[in-house]
Amino acid sequence: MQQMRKVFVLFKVFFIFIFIAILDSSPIIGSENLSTPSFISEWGSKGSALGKFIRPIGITVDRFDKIYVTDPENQRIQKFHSDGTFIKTWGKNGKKKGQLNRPMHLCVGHNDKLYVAEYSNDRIQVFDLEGNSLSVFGTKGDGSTELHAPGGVAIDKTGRVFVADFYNHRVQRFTKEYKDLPPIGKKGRFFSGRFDYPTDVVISRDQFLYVADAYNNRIQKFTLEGKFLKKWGGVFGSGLSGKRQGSFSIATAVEVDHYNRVYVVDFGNHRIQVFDDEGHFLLSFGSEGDGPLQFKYPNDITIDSHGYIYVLDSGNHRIQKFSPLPVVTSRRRK
Amino acid sequence: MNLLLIFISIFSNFVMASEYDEPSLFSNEVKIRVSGIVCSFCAYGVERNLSELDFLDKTKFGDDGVLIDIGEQLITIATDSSKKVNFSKVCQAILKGGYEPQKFYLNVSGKIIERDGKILLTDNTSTQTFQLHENEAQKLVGSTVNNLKVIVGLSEIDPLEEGNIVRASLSK
Repeated sequence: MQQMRKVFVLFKVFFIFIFIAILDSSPIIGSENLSTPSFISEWGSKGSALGKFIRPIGITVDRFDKIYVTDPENQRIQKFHSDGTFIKTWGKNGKKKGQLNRPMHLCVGHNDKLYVAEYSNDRIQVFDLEGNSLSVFGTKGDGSTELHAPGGVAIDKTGRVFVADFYNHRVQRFTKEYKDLPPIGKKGRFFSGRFDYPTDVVISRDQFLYVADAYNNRIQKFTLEGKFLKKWGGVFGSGLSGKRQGSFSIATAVEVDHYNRVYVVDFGNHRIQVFDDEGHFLLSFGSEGDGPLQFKYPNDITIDSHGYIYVLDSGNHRIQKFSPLPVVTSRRRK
Repeated sequence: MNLLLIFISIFSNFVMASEYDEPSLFSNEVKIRVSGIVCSFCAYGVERNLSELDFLDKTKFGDDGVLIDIGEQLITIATDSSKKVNFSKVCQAILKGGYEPQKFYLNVSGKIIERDGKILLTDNTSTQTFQLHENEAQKLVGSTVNNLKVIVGLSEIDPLEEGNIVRASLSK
């Protein structure tokens, strides 16, 4: 009887395997008009001197098209012109205001303030665009105003703060005065609204929240009040890691352009995948390597006011700048 | 084809640890070869977990005694020479962060002795005792070694055993 049960379980596992393999080979419709962006320039190399990085993690841009990069191994933030010319740097290792401990993803709010997720200080630090520290909020824990290794941060139009709370497997929300709001999601796999180590959040122009649910290998879309809308990545957004279009191997970051196209940093596949706002695949670019349009474990992406794309090519310790994607209407699944 | 890729992917996890050469070592440090793809976020998580261990020398590697090389899949911890390394706790800290520890490399200095049919090497400063594999270490019995590189495999570590004798093999 015991043996029969074992055989039955083995058969069950085998058929689930086959089922997944068949589903994973189902066609995904891409846009026939959307071409790969052109490489424009790159800057940065490995090191601690000004303008150099050691495995940078976060990149964002302000409305003046100035670029901000977190360099957690060097415990600093660096600011550049959009052509890569170095402007300034700030930060050093520590817990005090103005100091940093593993700064990760960052964003600029509508109020021209820079919000930085500090992984090892379990807090968000707010700077002006010149690097002066304005405030810090969050302490270590899993309570309502607490964070545990925040990975990413986003700000909505009204100034509310959304944090990818990595070790708490949730999106923590704060009012614009940094008071707590009910969080979104909890730890889990497969099901909607469950997270497995979320690393990044972004809010689109039309005010939807997208979460890089990194170890579920998927993106989840919510209203700002936390109502689940969509998920994609792997088969039916199940979160199974993969190399095919529409699948991810650790989705470490997410960004949305002016046309609400969603760019996903596919860390382990060394590429960027672009989707429409419903999660339909549009385009993939990048492959493993150290040449132009090649990446080694990319960690973040940002898009400036003209649509230029900046990919943080962490393993190559550099930033690559690409031409904007053309504006076309995406095709839907048949 | 997809099934084949899945099987290859699973198999590659098993052979990943053998892709790399043995790392070079300094005194008072332990290097751990790990496998499993993790992002920078998890690497910093492993760093946080390891930095809480009380046998680390936190004056090194940026004040937490831990250095992680994601590309090489190698973790280095600076150890307090007066304390025993608790391999079980190191394993737990790494596993909790998402990596899978494969092998530990460290230097040991002391006298190699034979007792109850076992070949033992006790480190002079940490007093950690290693049981060396008989075939490799028989010829060294009675000698005093300085910075002898030993390798501790994951299968040699009992997660319930803390700080006792650890089985190890000699580096080639």
